[in-house]
Amino acid sequence: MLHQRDFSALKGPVTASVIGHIIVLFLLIFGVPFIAHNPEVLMEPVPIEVISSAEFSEIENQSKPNEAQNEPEPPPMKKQAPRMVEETPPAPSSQSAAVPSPQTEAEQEKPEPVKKMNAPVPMEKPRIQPKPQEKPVEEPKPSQDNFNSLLKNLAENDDPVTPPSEQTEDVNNANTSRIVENRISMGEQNALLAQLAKCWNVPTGARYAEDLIVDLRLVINPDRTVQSAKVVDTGRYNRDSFFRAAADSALRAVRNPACSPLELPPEKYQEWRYLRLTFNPSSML
Amino acid sequence: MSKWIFTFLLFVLAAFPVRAELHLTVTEGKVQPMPVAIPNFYSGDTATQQLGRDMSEVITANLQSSGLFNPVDPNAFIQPSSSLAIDGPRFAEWRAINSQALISGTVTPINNNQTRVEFRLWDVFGERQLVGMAYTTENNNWRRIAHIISDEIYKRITGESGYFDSRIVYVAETGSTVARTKRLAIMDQDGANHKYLTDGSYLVLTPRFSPNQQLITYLSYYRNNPRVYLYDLNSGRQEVLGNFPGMTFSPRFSPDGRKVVMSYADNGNSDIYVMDINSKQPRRLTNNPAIDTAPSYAPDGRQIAFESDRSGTQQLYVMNADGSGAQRITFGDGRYGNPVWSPRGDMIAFTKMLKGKFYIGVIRPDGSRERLITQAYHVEGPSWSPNGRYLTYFKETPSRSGRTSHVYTIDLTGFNERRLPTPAGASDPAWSPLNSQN
Repeated sequence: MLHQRDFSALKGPVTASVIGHIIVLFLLIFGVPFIAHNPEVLMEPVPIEVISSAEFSEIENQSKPNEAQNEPEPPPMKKQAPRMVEETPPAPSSQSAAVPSPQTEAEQEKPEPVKKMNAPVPMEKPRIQPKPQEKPVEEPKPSQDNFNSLLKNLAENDDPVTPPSEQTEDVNNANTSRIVENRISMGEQNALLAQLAKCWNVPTGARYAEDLIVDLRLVINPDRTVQSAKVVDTGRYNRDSFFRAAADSALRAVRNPACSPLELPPEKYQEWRYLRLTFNPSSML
Repeated sequence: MSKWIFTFLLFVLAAFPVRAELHLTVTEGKVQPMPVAIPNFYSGDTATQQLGRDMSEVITANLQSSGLFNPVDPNAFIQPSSSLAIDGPRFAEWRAINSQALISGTVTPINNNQTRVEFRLWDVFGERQLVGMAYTTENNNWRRIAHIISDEIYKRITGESGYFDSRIVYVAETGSTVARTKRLAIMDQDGANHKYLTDGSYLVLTPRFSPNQQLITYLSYYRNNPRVYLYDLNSGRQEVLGNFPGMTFSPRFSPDGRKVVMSYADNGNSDIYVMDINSKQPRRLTNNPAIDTAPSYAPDGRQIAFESDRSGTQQLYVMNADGSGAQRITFGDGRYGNPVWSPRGDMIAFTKMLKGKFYIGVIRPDGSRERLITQAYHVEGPSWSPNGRYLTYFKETPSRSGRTSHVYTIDLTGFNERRLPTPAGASDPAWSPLNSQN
């Protein structure tokens, strides 16, 4: 009797215990709904391989042709009407017996507007390949002492009087700006710089050429062609003819068909859409 | 209150998205002549078509000789010059032949004797006109117009003034080494219009151009008496400069053309003097037992570079124009001489002798950045082009008949060395200023 009474007394707690265990078991299997993790967030493990920046550049270059094939044709560049610039002719010089002077006239009329504008001809296949006139005489041959110099020096020791700190400082500055934090890798940056080095004709013989440092602001199209290129220091551009020539040489570099499209990773458009380029010749002089 | 304004400004600034800009520094490039297309200047009139061709030829030769331009082969041109003159450039066709600059021009006869010449310089990549000029001239003056146009093109592309419309005076040498005849001669910078100024009956040396007049100063051994002379190019008249009892030599004009600075040797000691051309009054600038010679003014006229052996070896010095404050600027091995201050002021050219070799070099006026740019058995007498970019000098080489001497030009970068065409041997060249300046 006592046993029967005991069991009947335990009937309620046992039921509660069974229900409790079922709930715990349910929670163990399915988890708590409101604190459950979204399984979509879980990331698949990605195998990583460490490679050098040089290898990276190489891989990038190798992969370029395939990317170009996969991409749709870039839209044709918009043709802009050429801006006509008239310059004031020099004042007529006084006549002298030894050297007769011509009469110089101001160019009054605007040049004839260009009536026909053909679509750009692809650069890859020029109709007639121009023959080289002669061996280019200014092609620099780097001396043993100064590997990067574009100025000739027959002396055994290059410039013993110049403090070496001056040049190294410039190079350091250049390197510093190269490693600005951004998501374009060093390999990608070097690929672009190597490309531009082939298109930039350095004004080596200008007066104080080492000071002719030109900043350009570029806006790049998604197809990696240059949409616009502007000289930052417009004041000096208008004031200093040497700087203007140096700036023009930088502008020619970025507009050179040999440097179009620019060597930039197409998938990172937002990173290089706005590009600032500093052309600094000081380490080459 | 200011705290609230600051916070407000922070919110305003935060509202604008920051534009991500990739910043890179290009530190490597190349030095290569710029490809330029120079079609024949177009003329609708058959009488002046040849003139148009000749002008394009001279401009092409000028730009090519500068070493900074590479004229594109005319066989490659797609757009004919008639279409270029009438319709304007079709830039795509000039880009297609790798031309970065394009020069178009027209020649129009005004009457039997006069012609109107127009030219335009185009930026092919930028598709814009850079320069447009028109000139009216007598037909026989076409060559000079071609030089002036070359200068305009050079100026717009390089940023510095040109040098094509200039001349070179030099000493023409004929005969054997022991009986050599030396005459003053003058020619355009490209060798055209050559003529002799003196007859060779007496020795002449070191001619120098006036910066602003038709005058040359030089050393003449007239009647075996070495003196500094002036030669008037307009009249052909020569006159001795000053009345020194001893030898005067190594003359050079001041930048204003009013004075001549030179050396005067007295009892074996030479010092530097300056003389006013009009008053003929000399003034002594150095007074040193050493040999002071080869003075050359800075373009601003405030300083003079010269050579002196006052330190024991021949070195270069810079002093104030009144002779005070002489400072030595060369400390390298060997001997330095013949300093010549560049017309643009940034460099001094010199001759250097080191270990039995001769060099032409350049150095900054403060003594830094010395570079030796050419070397030979005997190379001497540098003279700057009017824009301070090129040097002319002479090189002497041993030959069967003794020694032969020729005049050369070189870019101050040390590249593009070229021999100038002269009818005979040539030494002591001196570049004139631009013809429009004197």
